Amino acid sequence: MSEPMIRLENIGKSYDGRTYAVRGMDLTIEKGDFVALLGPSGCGKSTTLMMLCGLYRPTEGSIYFNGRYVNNILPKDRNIGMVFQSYALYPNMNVFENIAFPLKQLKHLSKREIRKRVQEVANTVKIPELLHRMPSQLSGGQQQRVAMCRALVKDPDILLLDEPMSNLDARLKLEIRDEIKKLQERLALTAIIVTHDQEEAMAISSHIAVIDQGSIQQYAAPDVLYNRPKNLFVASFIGTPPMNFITGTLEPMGEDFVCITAGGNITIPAALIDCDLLTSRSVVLGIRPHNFKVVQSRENALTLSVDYIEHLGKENLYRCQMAETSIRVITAIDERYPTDEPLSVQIDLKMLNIFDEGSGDNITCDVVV
Amino acid sequence: MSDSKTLRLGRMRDDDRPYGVWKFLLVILVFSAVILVPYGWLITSAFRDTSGAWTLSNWSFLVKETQLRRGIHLPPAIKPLMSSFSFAIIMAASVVTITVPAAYALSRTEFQGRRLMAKLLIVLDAFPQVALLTSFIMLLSKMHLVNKLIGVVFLKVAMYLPGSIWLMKGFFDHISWDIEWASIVDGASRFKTFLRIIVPAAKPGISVILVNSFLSGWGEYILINLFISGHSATMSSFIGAMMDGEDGRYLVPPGVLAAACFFYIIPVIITFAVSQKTLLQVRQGGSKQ
Repeated sequence: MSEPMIRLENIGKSYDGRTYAVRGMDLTIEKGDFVALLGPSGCGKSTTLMMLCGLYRPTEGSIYFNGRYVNNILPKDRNIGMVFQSYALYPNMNVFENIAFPLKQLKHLSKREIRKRVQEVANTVKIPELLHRMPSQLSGGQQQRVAMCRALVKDPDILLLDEPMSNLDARLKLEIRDEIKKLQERLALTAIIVTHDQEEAMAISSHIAVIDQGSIQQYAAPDVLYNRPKNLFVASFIGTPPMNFITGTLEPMGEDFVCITAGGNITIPAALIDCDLLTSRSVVLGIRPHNFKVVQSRENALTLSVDYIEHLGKENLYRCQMAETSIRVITAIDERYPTDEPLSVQIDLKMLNIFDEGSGDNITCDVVV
Repeated sequence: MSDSKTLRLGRMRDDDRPYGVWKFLLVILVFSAVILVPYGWLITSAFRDTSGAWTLSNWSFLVKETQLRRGIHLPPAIKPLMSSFSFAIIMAASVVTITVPAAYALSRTEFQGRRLMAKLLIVLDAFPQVALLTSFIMLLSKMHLVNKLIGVVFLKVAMYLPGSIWLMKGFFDHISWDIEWASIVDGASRFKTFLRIIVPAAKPGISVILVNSFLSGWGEYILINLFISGHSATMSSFIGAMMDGEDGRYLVPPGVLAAACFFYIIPVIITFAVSQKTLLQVRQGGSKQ
């Protein structure tokens, strides 16, 4: 069996010896994967990246690159390239010198070889005309590209990206995101990106590790995270507009179950639930805004009062209220409903996620993914 | 971004100039008069004799002896001038050589007693140096450095270091960690990173320390006057000797004194002229904060 490119085993990092920024983290990344470490600020994602690049040493656990134990290996010997959030270009050197800097640290390269490789990587990232500029003369997007060049010039096995697009404007972000993805595929790089932007993570990566409070909440492909979040944290973190959460009580009813909520009762087939339910239990129903269907009858439907409508262009978003809970319902652009009458909506059961209220875990069967 | 920069740095055309600037200039001139008038007096009297006629004779102190009292002469200013220069240069060089690594260590490394050291720096910086004069005398005699300029340089540097280290630490604190980390990931050692990345990024700060310590050395009078006998150890004591008459009277004609003072401030003006560009340079690196 071949070793994965990166393996983290029970990694923990504590700065003060008492509290842990990261704890008990296991992660396996195969060659060619593009993994996003996604989470709110302060969740430990940057700390994890710092341990991967070797600037921080883990307090506990082991890191393996290609089966090699690298906990004590210096950053320069890990064969990695890194792009920093601030780009971290050396202000006293021009673009060429910036890109050449990592090569100059390798003693055996001739000047000619260095020049050739800088030219090559500058062509790959499409900035050959910038080589003689100073970093202060570059726009944000250009600085970002130079930082990419510097990370790639040593031909690394692993590319680490620390919020590489957070300083760019929205349009440029899309463009650079595209280019990073293409480069990663073309060069068959194993890449890890730290981001708090879920849209960016969903778009760019093959796998996402959602991190909260120093541990991985779920590690899966983007569509799995979206459709079958493992717990309430992931469910609430992924998706804009966010998933609706409706609290209710699940009770056995014949073969199936019924969920009693403030807005009505919903029949839930037994096949949907992944555990043995003998007595009633408090649950949270998670439904994405576009997984509702507006119906005439009140049967097996939720009754909502409409607050107002947001016209989003390609669809309409109804901001509704159900008892104390606010609910977002997205409908097709040609569906219009009055705001002064209650709205009856049915839930698309295939897309429904049911969470145990106590533990927050998803108890839905993975029948549909 | 580059466009706006060119605009800002480009020469201002006359019609771009804000309307009514002369009013502000007037106000500034009035307040500056307090400083400008003495300088004007200094410069003009350096070229006038006692009768008010224009002359260059005041400047003979540079190459000839100057009589203070009967039988007491100041030597030509060349020797004190050289001493002043070496005093200031040695002082500036020592201060920068010690300050830069020390401030880097305080700013960027973790070691036992770092916080205590930082606190002590502030306390030491606040000490008036006059309070330490007696202990300085003992110290210098123990080190056999009494009446030697190098001993005074030693004291000056020691007194100057706490403030300059503290100031330099502030400059290092403002350099982003990212470029240091990037350099280490790129394969440079910590020391090489310090030399090739951090020191260039801190250049404006280092210039401030260099220029200020040079000027402080150039202008030093009290310690030299106290610890060095004779009248011509440095330019400051040379000028001091000219003013050292009884009842506060000068021992030389005012024109000569003015010429000597004017001569004394020329290096200061040159230093600022040369370094102002670096001193005014705000950190404008490629890293966004």
